[in-house]
Amino acid sequence: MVRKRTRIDIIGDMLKSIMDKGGCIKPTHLMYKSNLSHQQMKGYLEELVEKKFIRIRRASNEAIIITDKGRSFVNKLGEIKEFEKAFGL
Amino acid sequence: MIGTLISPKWFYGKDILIDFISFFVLILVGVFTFKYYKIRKGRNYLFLSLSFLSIAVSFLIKIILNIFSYYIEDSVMAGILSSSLTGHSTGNITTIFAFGLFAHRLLLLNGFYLLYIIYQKCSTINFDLKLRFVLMIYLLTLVTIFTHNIPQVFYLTSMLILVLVTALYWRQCCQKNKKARKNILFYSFSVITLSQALFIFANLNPYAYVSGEIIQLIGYVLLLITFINVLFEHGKKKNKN
Repeated sequence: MVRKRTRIDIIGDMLKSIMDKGGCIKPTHLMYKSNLSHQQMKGYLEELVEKKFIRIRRASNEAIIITDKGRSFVNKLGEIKEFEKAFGL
Repeated sequence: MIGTLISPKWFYGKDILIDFISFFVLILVGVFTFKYYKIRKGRNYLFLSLSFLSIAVSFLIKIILNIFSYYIEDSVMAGILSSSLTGHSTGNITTIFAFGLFAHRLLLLNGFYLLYIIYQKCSTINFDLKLRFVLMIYLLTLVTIFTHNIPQVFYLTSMLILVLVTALYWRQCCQKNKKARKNILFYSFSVITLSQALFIFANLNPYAYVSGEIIQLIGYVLLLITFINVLFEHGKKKNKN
């Protein structure tokens, strides 16, 4: 059975998706890439902005941009994943 | 001498250095695991962190006790003798030392037991787990108190807990995933288990203590290698991206 994603897993997936797109992504692309509904994504985006992991460019072509803090958080999550594998957690 | 275990004189200080290296490795991994817990909020991270920190504090107490018994005891004993002539109470030092030994043993057993809880993979902290935890702490406290003069029983208990931890880790991690990185932690647990087995005979033969300390050092160095590998592997992946 596939394990249910935790809140941190979802945040990690969202930030990773932005990074994979070169640090800038359209909201709809992010929604599909992170497998979230519009309502769910709205909540997560608010949290990410609050934590300064992303900023939202409000213009005709609205985009979500990852910050340096967001990038370092993704790196930290990667490190934790490696640790989890090695220590069998 | 009222040290934690009988060490040959030529090994004085060397065992303290070995314990200090073990303490350093455990603090390092424990603090990092606690940092990870603050991000992931997983129960296993908290238990792993508490386990390593508990064992680390246990080693710190052992180091202090050994420093006391190797280098300070004679002068303190001289002080005790002179104060006994003047009629002052001398029981405090013995009490403090006995309490230190008790704390060292209890923290070590609890640390190993927390490792066992993690690899037993209890999915939630339910009432049953809480009860088992209370019962185990009670039993481990009893073992620690009533084996004060029989360290063999204490080391036999810690060895048995570690045998279970090693077996569970092997079943859950190494059998499924044959990556060498995971096996290093398996070897680390196995080697630390072996060191506890050798400590059982430490009061019969001082060389068992020396071998136990050296093997324990290898065990904690293997733990450090596992941790460095985690950071190194992640660094490699980061550079690839």
